[in-house]
Amino acid sequence: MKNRLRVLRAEREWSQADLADRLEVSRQSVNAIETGKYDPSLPLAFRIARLFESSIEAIFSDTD
Amino acid sequence: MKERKLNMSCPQGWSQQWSQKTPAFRRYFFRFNGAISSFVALSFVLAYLSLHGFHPRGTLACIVAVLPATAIVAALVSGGMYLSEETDEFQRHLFVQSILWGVGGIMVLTSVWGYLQIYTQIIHFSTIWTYPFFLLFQAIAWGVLRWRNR
Repeated sequence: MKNRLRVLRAEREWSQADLADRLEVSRQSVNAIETGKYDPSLPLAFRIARLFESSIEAIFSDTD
Repeated sequence: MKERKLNMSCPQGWSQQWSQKTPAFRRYFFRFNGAISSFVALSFVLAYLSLHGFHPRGTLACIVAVLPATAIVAALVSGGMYLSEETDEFQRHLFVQSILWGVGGIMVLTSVWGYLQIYTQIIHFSTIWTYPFFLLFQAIAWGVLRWRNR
């Protein structure tokens, strides 16, 4: 699954650690989600969407 | 939380890495190491006593024999508690994967060894080594998974 997490994070000039702190997860989690190695659960996807004031579909996509 | 931010700018030492661990992992670390330390201590004490003429019979023999196994059960329970307490789902995911590698590794080892025992003169694989080998496979998998997702 593709996502725009890295772009959204860069727009806010947050490091992976900054985003991890805001989401209350580890930096490794953010890295794994950004690189597409790990797809977050629905609750975490909602937390991410809420943090970026966006919808889940606007951040995550199952197509190219 | 703030510690994590500060640590990103400099090379990470063990204490810095430790500060980044989740509270659930820290609890697991102490519980697990307590259980494993008990297992090692009990094993050595019982081996020493056995070598020095301590050979209990009946119920006492059963209790003495099961003592080290209770420490192993405690170690397994600590892993289960970690899984239920860890709020970071990705860390939980890595831990579950490492357990699966551990289970797979010990099943392969015991299956292959079992057949080798039938057809060759290889030494007998005592079942008391099941958990230590499971732990070895799990630890290797845990290390590799964490390195790949650093």
